[in-house]
Amino acid sequence: MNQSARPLYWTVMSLIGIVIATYVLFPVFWLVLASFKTTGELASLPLTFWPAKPTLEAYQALFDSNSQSSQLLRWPTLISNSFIVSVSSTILVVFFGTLAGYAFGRIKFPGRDLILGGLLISRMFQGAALLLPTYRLMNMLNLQDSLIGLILLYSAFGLPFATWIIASSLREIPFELEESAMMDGASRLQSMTRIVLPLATPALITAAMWHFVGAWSEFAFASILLESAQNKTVTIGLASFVELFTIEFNRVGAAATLVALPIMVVFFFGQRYFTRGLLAGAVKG
Amino acid sequence: MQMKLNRRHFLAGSTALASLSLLPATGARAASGALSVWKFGGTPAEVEAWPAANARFLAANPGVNLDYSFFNGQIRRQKLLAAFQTNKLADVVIAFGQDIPEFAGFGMIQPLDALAGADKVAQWKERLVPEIMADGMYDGKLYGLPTYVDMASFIAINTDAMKEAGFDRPPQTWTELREYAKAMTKPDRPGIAFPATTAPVDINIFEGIAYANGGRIFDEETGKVTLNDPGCVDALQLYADLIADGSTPSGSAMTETNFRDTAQLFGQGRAAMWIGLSWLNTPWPVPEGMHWEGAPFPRPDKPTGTFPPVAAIMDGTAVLMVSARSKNPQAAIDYVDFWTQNEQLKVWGGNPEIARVPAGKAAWDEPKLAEVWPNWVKAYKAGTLFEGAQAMPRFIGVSAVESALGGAIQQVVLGQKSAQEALDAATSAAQTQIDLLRG
Amino acid sequence: MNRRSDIWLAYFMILPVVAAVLAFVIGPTWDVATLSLTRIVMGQQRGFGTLANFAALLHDPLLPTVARNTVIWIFGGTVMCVATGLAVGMFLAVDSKLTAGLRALILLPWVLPDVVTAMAWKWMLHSQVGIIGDTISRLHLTDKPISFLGNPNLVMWVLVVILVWRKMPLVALILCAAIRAVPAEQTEASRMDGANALERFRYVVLPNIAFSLTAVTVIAIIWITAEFTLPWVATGGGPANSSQIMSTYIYQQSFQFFNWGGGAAMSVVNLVFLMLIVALYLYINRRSWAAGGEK
Repeated sequence: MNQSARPLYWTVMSLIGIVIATYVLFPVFWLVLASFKTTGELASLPLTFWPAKPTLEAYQALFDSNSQSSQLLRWPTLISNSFIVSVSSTILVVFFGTLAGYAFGRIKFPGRDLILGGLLISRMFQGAALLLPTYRLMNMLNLQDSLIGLILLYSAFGLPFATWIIASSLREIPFELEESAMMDGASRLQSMTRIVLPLATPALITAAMWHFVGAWSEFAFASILLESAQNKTVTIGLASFVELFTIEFNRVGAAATLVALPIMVVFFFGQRYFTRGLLAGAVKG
Repeated sequence: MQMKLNRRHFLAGSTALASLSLLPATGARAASGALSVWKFGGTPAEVEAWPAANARFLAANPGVNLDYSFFNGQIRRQKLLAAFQTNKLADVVIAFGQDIPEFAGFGMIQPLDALAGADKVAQWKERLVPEIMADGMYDGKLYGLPTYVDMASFIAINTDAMKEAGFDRPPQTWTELREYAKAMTKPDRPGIAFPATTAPVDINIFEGIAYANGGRIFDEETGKVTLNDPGCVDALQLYADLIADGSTPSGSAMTETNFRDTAQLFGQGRAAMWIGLSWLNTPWPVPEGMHWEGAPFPRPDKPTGTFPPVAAIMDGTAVLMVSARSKNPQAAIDYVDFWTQNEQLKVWGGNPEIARVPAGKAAWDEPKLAEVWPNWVKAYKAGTLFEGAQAMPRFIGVSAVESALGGAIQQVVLGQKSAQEALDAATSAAQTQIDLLRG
Repeated sequence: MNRRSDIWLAYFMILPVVAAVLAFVIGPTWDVATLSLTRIVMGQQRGFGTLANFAALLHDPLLPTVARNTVIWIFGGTVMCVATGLAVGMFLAVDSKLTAGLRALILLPWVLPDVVTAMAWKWMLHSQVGIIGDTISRLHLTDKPISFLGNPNLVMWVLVVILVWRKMPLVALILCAAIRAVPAEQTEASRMDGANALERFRYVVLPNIAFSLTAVTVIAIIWITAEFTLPWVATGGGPANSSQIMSTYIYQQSFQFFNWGGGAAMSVVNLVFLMLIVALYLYINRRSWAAGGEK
């Protein structure tokens, strides 16, 4: 596949590349473009592609304390809540996922495969049907309308997959390394923290990023569990915002860009590890 | 300046009056303690006005610890249901008039008249338009206090296009409507559009037409779903006829276009008329130089339904209700009472971004309302605005029946079934659903 | 190397994960299961131990439509996700500036929240106000504007396209990494033997990435099953129920109609059915996800 210098080959390749790029990137691009247009431009005909007069109006409106949107939705609070929930649950998920991942990946014990399979399947249960019983459970624990409750819930949702990614990756690390360390008198715990885990960093980063994105964009459970304005997360704000300004896509686009930006930054820095870790999880063991 | 002074004077007067009347009735105890209030959805301006009013409430009731939450309108029912099941419902919830029978039937909310006492109710009656206040009644009791209503159904007409087609007044009958729509249709601009998605507003718009034709969707007396009553079938046939005349966008375009999008199409000059609720295009600016007016939806030439035809149907989407298990009913009723004050109800007195039919009598005197909706104010003053109007469908299981109706409308609009077939099937499906719910 | 104490250590290490999943996932699921066997009238629970909810479900005239749509959603969605993911992954595996750039940007769809994704696509696809619909009509590609989300025959597949847009990039990246890990000498050797591109893919690449492919397929099925916000916001099950799938129907029954006994019964049927399929799939391909014995 390499070094085919034939022009036809490269033309075809470029065309395919453009098709893929258009499909994947155009919707995002279009939303960002809309965020720089005025409401009047978006409502008028014919549709314009590039903003006629690029403006930051929609972004300013998000934070302007006199505008409708900022009074309804305090973005700084929403964003900091989402950060607290996403970061805390990510830490929990990586910590406990690593513990369990080590056990599943490197220790043989009765029922291991069955338990891991069961954990993976449990991810399917998180649909609309569980909204009501989950609310009842959180209420019983006195954790509804609390960020701590949401952190625990998201952690429970995220743990199975994180465990699986980490376990698959730990399985790849040669067992001899650990064995020789243990011969030298290191305990299980020591060999795990000093020998195995440093080698599994990409997998840990992958699990962390995966969970962070999931927690950052979760809407259904957050919307039913959280009540007070000071507890709401960014997706709740975004959904209210979309409902209020549904045909003003400049505002929707600006809000969406704002909400997606933190994740994009995370990805910019973690991308390389992310694919490597995923690969370890998904490639033959 | 003059205006501001007047208002302040009035406010001081009315609160003094309220506290006076409160003394003898309730044994001299002003409300205090924790009070939670949940509001769902609304237009941006209204959602913004609400917390501002809360601040006034707190100023007048310093002993109350108000916990106010605003929620996305789409999660209204699931949020209320979950909270009710776990005994966590807020003291005051602000929901739809159409919700009342279910909430009352499930024991979620309690009658306001018993809680407030005769004196307060008498004051409410003085301040509220009686026809709108009746929208909060169910089973002979006042369960909700509407702050405004929306009415169905109306048409918005591009008057330039109307004149161009040689007409000088809006259509008044179904036959005229079909003529107008056909005459106003151009190759790139349908004469009329109507929203037909699964959005509840789109279904309410159709119900307004069907009820005016003597149709109903449910008969409380017999417990039977009546979607296939001739009144509904012929109204749906009107939709089908307009499409068959070639006067509308394609059926599939209308099933993906909700009321807001349809309003936008009208504003862009991509439809010469559209069928909507009372606010039509008022909340959304139309381009300079475009002329339009709203009119009641044309009447059937001869109503064919088995029920009495109505002039319009109406419902409030910000109706105050008090939880049946409220721990602070005193503060809750004071909060409801606060919203019956003219100062608060003025929020709906003509702000085009809110564009509702106000419940407060005083709001009808606002000059802005006369400016935005001159015809309505005229009709209201003449006492004809609510003549023959009735509440939008409301009974236990209303969502299931409306959803079945929405499906049937879409089937007909898409040309999959005839109006009769679609509504027959919807009737039996909805009947099964409703029997299950009512046991 | 496995000591007896290690087994206890392992159980101890997995305890938090198992406990969390039992409490927050299995607990509520159990609640749903008991609810499905409870008679609910006028919002009140009236007696446990009834099959009425299941009987009603069986007689629901909409069930066949919902089942058909759900099959398109889950299986159509999974197949399309994996197939396009494989194609795009193969393309991305080629070394060039273009593919390197794409690899860095391709995850963008994945970071947008569902609500925004659904709204943005709905807007773009609208036959009159949307950029895609508008462009098609202006280029006169079709006689009439196409209503992607308003046409009952198209809508389910259009939803699948949106779903693929959202989920495929991740699949593509994983498969791309797997393809790049195929030993170059194997490809070269097969080229020497005169194998064409198709044969090289079939006999060299495919066996090498088979395990990744299996794993990715399972992940995709599980994701798509739990996905609810996207179709609900995009179409609300319409037009005329032609995009009503299990998850949206359960939501509608439970929260719009307040028929939560019926909704629970549907969830139970849905879950049992899907668990059987995934368990079967996991069993057949057990080597790709389980440890497969200590080396």
